[in-house]
Amino acid sequence: MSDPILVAASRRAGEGGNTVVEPPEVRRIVVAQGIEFTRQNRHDLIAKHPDASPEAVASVLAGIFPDAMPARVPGVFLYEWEGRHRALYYSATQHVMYAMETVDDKRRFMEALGTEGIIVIYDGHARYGRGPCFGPDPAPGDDWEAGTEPTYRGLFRMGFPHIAVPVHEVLTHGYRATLLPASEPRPDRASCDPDMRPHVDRLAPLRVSAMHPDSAVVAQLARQVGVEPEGDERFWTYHATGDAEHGRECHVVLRAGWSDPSYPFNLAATELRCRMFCHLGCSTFSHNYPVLRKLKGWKREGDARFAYWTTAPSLSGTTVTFLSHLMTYPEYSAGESWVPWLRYGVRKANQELRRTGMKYQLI
Amino acid sequence: MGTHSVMPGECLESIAHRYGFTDPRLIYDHPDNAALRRARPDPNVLLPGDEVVIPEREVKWFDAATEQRHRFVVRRRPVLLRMRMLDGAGNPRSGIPYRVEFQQTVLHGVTSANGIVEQPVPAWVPQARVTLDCEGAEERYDVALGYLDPVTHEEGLRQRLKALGYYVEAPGIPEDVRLRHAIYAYEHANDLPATGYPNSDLYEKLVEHYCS
Repeated sequence: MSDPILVAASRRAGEGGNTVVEPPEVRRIVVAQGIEFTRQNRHDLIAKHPDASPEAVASVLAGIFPDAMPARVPGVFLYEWEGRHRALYYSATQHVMYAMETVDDKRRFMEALGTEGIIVIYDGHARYGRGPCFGPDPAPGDDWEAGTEPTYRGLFRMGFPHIAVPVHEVLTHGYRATLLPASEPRPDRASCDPDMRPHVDRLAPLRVSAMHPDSAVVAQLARQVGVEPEGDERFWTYHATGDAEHGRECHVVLRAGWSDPSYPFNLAATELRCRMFCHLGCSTFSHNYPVLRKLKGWKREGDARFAYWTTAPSLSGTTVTFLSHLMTYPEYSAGESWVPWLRYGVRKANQELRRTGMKYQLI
Repeated sequence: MGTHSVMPGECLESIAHRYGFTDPRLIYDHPDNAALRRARPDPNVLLPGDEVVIPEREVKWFDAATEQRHRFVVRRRPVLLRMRMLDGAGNPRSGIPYRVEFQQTVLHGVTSANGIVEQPVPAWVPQARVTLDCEGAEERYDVALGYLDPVTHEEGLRQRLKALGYYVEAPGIPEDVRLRHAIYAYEHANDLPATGYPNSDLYEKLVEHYCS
């Protein structure tokens, strides 16, 4: 039984009587903003490009949570407390109070996952499926992998045990990479991220010196891998075309490890108590859905344990789009099943994504 | 003639009871309480610290024969706990069995077609518990009688906005933010200019809406 609600009343109220409305349902939403996707990162991005067109600036601004919410949902109340940006919104139609806050570090993200009944939305890079990744500064470094302060920064591992990334990704982000040595058995297909599976049969052991034609690049890569440039140690690799800009290049296999005890900040070690989790990074339905739902076994249970993903590479701003449609659901919703509310939000968000030419959907 | 400084939980009904007046208007309408009437247009919504002038009680004389029984009737309006229970969509919660408990008394009833809970509760009772029996699940309200502050005071605003569902207890939200948001949301939902700050339009609408 819940605690009694304290109401102050007059001893002689007007004819109608003091009005007491059934309390609204409070839906608490934590938006976890990953590296390069924090609110500050997005504002810094605008500041760094003073020559950007007004349309480009407007596009970035329209995707910043929570700043962009009042323009989409009139009545959203923004405030900052304890250095975190937050928002409140009461939908009289739904009789639901939305209490939203941002977090931008791994520890708070993990706390949110473990908080009973809340909604957690990760808005940030998928890191080729490795998992949500946190850091205050998108400059190259270890915050793009294990983290300079692993409790707060770096990856929260949520991917298949083996994930391949193109060499340019390792170089661009400048982190120390844990490559899979060829002294270990070739990974089996089931342990690999779906993007890597078609290449498993072609995996070849390569020295770092053979991974790139430029010796200066090889030297940098060797430093990040932690070997000598001309060393004899070999790693599992394959060659493929990742994107048009970089063409055909060497891909290296990383230990990703959603359950690898070497990385304590991982999904296997986390007890999820939240009612809903959304990973809105790129192509997360392919990368992370099977890990959470099948390997971790966090399956839907009645009106709880909802999860949403993206079907293809996504853009920042999806959180604002999705939340604004949920918050404007035009039906009474307090105390009722979340299913119609979520179906509406997903359907409307997907309609908007299609209408604006996006190639991905929420699923 | 004396002056009474209002304590938390007191209103004119309870003050009149304390000083032996059957009709609180005899106090409220006294010329020396003109300033109080201007500041507190609702005699049952006072602020702790308000000064109320208590007039001398008027002694009434009756001629009556000896060796006979005489019946004197004191007419006083019963003090009622009256609450209108609405659901989140603003519809009356009608036909719900309820009980009102205070001290050793338990009163039973069913909410009216307008969602009204109404029971006599003596003026000296500071708190009553109203329990709605919603198909087996109990919903409980502790009603602090006479503790309603004037709408122009922060606590009075908070009390009304909370009862109307706009001010919610949620972890991690500072109190001043909750109040500002409640004002903002109330204004927004009631077609008032959304300011997030107290103002006369808000006061007027809230008093009308809360019936106090």
